[in-house]
Amino acid sequence: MKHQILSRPAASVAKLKMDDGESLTCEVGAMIAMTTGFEVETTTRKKGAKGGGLGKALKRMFAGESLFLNHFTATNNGQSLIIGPRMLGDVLHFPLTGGSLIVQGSSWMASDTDIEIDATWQGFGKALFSGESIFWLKCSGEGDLFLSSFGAIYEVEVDGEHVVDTGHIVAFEDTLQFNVTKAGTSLIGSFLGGEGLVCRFSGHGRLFCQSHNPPGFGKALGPKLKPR
Amino acid sequence: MHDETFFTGGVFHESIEGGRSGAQIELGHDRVQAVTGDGERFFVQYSECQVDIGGYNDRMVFCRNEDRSLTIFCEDRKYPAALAYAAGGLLDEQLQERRQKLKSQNRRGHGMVLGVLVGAVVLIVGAYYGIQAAGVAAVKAVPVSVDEQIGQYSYESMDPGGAELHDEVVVAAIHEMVDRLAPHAALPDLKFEVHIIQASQINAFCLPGGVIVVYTGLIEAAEQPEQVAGVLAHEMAHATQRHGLQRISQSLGIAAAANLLIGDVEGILVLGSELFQLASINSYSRGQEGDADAEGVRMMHAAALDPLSMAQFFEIMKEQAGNLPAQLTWISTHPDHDARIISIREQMGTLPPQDYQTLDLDWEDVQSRIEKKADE
Repeated sequence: MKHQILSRPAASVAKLKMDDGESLTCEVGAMIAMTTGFEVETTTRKKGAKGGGLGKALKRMFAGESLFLNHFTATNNGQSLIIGPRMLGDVLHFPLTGGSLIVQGSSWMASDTDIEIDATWQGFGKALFSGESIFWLKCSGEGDLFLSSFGAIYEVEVDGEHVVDTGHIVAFEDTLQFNVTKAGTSLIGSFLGGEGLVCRFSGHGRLFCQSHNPPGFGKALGPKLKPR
Repeated sequence: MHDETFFTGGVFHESIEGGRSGAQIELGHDRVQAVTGDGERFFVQYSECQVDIGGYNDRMVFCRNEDRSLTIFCEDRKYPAALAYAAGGLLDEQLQERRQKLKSQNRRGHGMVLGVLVGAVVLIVGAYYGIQAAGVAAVKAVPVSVDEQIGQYSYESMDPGGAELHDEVVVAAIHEMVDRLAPHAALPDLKFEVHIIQASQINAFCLPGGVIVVYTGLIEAAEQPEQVAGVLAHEMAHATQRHGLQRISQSLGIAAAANLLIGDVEGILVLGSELFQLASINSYSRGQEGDADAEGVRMMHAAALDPLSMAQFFEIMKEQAGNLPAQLTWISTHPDHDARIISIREQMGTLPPQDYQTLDLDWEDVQSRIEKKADE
């Protein structure tokens, strides 16, 4: 499978070239266009997985994804599939080579059928205050992973500590640890400064952040909309 | 036993493309070794190993070499014990220290979550009481004439549930009670207006501004006129303490309180009257009922009427409760009469001595006139 990310970063889509027998699992609604040589299957479980489908699907739902998954399998060589995110933003291609990537609930867009996707609980503090979904998706295995964001995605190589505002995390490598903490030295000062709580990452690994966060955008836009 | 020596994990090293790779971890007798999918081998001697615990799930164990150029990591639950065993005690101290550090970090995290949650609860509770206090403060700033207008407007537009009784003797008896109590009211300028309604329900209520409605059922149920005076004192206290306006300002929220303060009385008048007609007649809060009891007792005592009569009336209501449940409206909107009897008696114990005097009324005559009217 070959890929190309087009129109970065504000209106990105991923264009994939797939040969006979190659498969991709996508979130519901991700497909924008495709050639006719694809077999499309909709299930609640990962393609080829045995058991645990509904439980995992429900956990995935809590992580901000859909109950169902779409599997696209090319039935001829040279097939083309274009997938894109719902929000205006970037698409990131991440080649997983063993290990795991922890993905913010709604950022997972598509992955190789060999990649295992499971929801992971990060504790009450992170669930309540990280500004992300209650559950996170743990993607592990080997293969291509496509993630989406709101705004542009930028990568940070963390070796030590790094601070990101809540709501701006797309994904991070499993070797990183993060805690939700106050932005400044005083909690009240942190809130008055508009930053409130932040996510403090520590360890060694790559962190992917998004330039904008959807709740912040919603808050800014909401008052300007005309009531229906 | 920790005889497991192979685990799945990963390795960080600059010679690997992308700097990181998944790897098979092997615990040897003097070193931890990582073999990547491409067959590349990396190792860290136990003697130079710097241990750390972290990762997304707080249980990934990292082994670094002295210059930190190589890191081998694994998140398997059995790995820490197997590593400690394989290293023959060399890494025990480091592992223990890292675990302690992680624990205290988590404790701090939990403390912060708890702190924020407690803070949120305090804010919500504070806002609730703040709004109530703002309502009370706003009511104090509003002239009493607003209470009177709301009371009049409400009474004129409501159906009291029976015809008004104009019998001279009955009206005079109730007026005598009100006249005895009124000089001791907390709001001396408030003019009380009593309406006696012919209906069997044992009920009385007070609208804002001192409009009091007494049902003939209540007069008939009372054994002594002082018992009716006790109920009237309680109802008059609702008016003098302006509970009606407080209910309105609390029900309509802080915006109404602000409106009252800036003088938008007209809108509040209409809204408040509607509120009273629709659902809130007699529906004062528990706290307001307690306050009205205490103020009623004070007024009775000051007027040289025995406040125990109020408690006696509750007891009559209690006795009749089994026989006439549907008609005990006054009691049903005033719950916990046992507790109220106790608190009235307690309050009486704190009052200075007083020479209580009975009302000079022919109570049997008053009650018989009501019966006659009912028969007509």
